[in-house]
Amino acid sequence: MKSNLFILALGILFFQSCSSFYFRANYKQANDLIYSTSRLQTKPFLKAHMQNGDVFILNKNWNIDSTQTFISGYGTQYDFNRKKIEEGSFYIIISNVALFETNNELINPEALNVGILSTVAVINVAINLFCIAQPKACYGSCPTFYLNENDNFHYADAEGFSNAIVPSMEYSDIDALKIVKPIGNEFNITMKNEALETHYVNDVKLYAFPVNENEFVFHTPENKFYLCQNIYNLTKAIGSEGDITALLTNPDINERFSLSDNKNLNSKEELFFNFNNVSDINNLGFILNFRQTLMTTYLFYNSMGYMGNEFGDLFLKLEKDSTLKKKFDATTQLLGGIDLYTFNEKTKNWDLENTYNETGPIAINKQLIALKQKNYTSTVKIKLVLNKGFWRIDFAGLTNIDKEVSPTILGPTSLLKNGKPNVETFTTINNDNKYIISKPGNEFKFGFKLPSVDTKYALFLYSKGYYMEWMRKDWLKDKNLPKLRQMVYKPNRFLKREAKNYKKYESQMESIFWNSKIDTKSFSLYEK
Amino acid sequence: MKNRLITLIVVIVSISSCATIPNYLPIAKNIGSHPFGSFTNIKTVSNDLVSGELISVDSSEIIILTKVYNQLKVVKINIKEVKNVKLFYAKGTNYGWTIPLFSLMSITQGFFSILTLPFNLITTIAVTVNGNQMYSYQNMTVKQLKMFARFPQGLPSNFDLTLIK
Repeated sequence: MKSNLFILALGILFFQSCSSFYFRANYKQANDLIYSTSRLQTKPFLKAHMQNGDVFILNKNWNIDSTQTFISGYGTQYDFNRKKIEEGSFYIIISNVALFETNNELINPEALNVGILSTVAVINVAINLFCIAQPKACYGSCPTFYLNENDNFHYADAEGFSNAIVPSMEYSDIDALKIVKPIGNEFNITMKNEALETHYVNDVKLYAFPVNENEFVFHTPENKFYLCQNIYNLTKAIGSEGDITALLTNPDINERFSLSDNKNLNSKEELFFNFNNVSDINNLGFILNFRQTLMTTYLFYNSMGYMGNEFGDLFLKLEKDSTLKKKFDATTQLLGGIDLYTFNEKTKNWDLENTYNETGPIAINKQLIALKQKNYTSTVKIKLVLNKGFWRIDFAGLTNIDKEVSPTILGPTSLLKNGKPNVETFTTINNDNKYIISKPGNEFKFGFKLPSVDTKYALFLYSKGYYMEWMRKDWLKDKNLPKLRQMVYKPNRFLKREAKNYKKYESQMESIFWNSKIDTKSFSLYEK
Repeated sequence: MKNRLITLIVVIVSISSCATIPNYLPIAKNIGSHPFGSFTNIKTVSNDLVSGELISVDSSEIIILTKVYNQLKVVKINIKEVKNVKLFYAKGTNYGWTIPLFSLMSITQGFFSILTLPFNLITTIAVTVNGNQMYSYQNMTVKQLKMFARFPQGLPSNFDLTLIK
């Protein structure tokens, strides 16, 4: 077919005396050449292809005589092998010319590429400048854990002890993983240090709960574990922006979040949820998948910046002074957690049930609050009160709690450091008095053996330790001890005065970083 | 991570291998005073690839001056055998240097690098490929192709092709 078209096009060729294609034009008749170039202010180079195969390339001042007998001009003559014969002024007899060729100059041929690169360069320079000006916005996390070692922190499965910024603040953290049915009884999880921090990891364990089909295990903010059945999806969810049901119906990392208040970072908002047709209103539990925005990171790094070159002394003071330790995160205490209320159909009041609160903007927490209130109809009404711009919510649902359960606690049976077995590290993790020290770029792959093969397990990760944030040279210039004092002792005032600065950071960081779609990866409560 | 790095290297090597446009072609602003034919890649229906300077095109064949084992050789290709043609009329611009440069910029962007690194790679690779292929045409008709030959008027009568260099 293509060959036929080729031949057809060839046929047409021989019935035309002149032709053009983009910048190039050919003329068999001098008259056509005169006509098409006479209106040009600057004539193009003229190529005269001779019948013997030679070519004359004349510069832009060529002319055709009035009788159309010859062409004159200055240029170069080449033979059929394009070997230069002569350069100078020529008079070429037109009857010896087989074909004339002209070429228009290409105007800005690189414009598109240069335009794209310039735009990309501007974006990159802007981000680089932003990172130089606000390095705190571009770096930082705490130990991140991955079921798939190749995932990046957008898909972190757990985030360990985010609040433990000095040794005395060490604590243990439990994060829900997935329900898995591993091939064999091997299960691995990789811990990474992806920030300029030193992590001191005292313990990593796996909490395993065998589950049957349609059974789930959730843990509460108090680290109790409940075996549950039935998941009731939201019927309606309303936020200040309107209907948010679609965002919260599935755990798909398509999250609902709001922006902070531009006058006061400490500003609350309410979300209202309705669950219609709940078939069993006994022993209800509310499931919430959530994580923090980058406001915590901003506040923490700002506090370090305010310490400036006294960072070391102040952290030592923080380590020793228990009163200061309690007040150090006064701002985040004021911003608070996510308060859960249920609507009491008898009293027509909202009853406070409990509060979700877990530090960290990276891994999504999946937690359950067992509802105490019993006065429901088949519609269960829930209200969440949370700080504006502080929380991201991925999923909300109801479930029926069957019973409280206890985990089988598993210690690691193998350990790879940066891909290689490391006996010393393995011994360390199994010794309660020793710490694995993880530096930026380190990866530790913990191997566990599940109790039995062919069993589904709901898994939770237990991690214990603390981390030391590295002071950055760029932060030293931000030293501002009065501001630090305000942050600790007058957190309300600080949050009001910092609102505008945070808005600048939030508009760039939140919108570019989190809203950008990479490759959407959805997951379900079950992963086979 | 290793797999991604390997993929990246493969892509960059592929791009480099695209850049087989010969030196005899002019830069874009000199196309009007360049005496040679354009560089042409012709794929035949039997999937052979013939590359070289386009010498002439007529109703039955395309003549290419190609290199075989470093020796110049004139090859005639029957028009019915032609599957597709790609023609380069000027040297492309090498934007390959932007790939490592923009990648380095990403590395210094902390959290943002997770977004900017793939974005920069995709953009710079696309621009590099486009820069390489910029002065080229594809899917041309015979009439159009003929205009880019060394002899757009056709071969001179009684011409001895063995003399072509």
